[in-house]
Amino acid sequence: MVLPTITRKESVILELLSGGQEKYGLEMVEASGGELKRGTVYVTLQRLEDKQFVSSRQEARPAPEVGIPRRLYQITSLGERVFAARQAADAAFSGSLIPVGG
Amino acid sequence: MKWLRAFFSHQFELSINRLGAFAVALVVTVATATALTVRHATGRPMSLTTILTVILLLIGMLWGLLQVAAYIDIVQSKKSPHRPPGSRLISFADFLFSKKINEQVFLPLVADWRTEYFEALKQGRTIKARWISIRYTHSFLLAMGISKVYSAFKGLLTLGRAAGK
Repeated sequence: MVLPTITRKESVILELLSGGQEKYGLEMVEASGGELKRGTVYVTLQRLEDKQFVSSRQEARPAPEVGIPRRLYQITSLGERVFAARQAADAAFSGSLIPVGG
Repeated sequence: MKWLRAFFSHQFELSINRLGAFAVALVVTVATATALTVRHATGRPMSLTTILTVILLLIGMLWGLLQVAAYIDIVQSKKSPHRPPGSRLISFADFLFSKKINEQVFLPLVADWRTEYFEALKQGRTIKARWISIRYTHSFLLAMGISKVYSAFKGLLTLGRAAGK
């Protein structure tokens, strides 16, 4: 089986969600330290949902509150496996690198 | 004045602007009528043409004032501060993108926008709220551009796969 490719931004999102805790998009932007932007985070999350690495649901709101409900995101088991595999691949790759001139 | 209100509310939704325009027209009408009566009282007879011209002028003036007032109403309603931020952009995205993309990309973005915007307003930081709106408008337009490119790329990929089979 071929390891699915994930971009740097997708990897950052999976890392932030890897604790198993649900998060809002804005929370992820703030926690990423500038790696994720407000304009791109939801497009990336949509892509991750398409790949089934992430699932989402609308937040439950108490009755008197109105307006657009926010969305909560959670990593799926497939997403966790892909992220773990990606981390292992990164570690193996960086460990096998020979320094220039070494 | 009940009958007057009933008459106008039949054709227009009465507002302060329209009532104001009507009041100005009424004052001008009464003043003109008084002036004509005084002139008539001095003994000079008025011709029928003069009377008709004056009536037509008054009707035209009333109509013009009501049109200006209605226009001001439309402009003011468009600039209403009660409209939550991102409403127009959401309608625009609704027209351009599918329901799924709207639910996954644009609605959560606007929900964040409003959360930050109203939080800033609650703290009395109006300038920050405006800055948030500017920043999110830019983010929204960026998301629209990226979404279009992404959906076009996905479409091409599907076509490529279908052609490969």
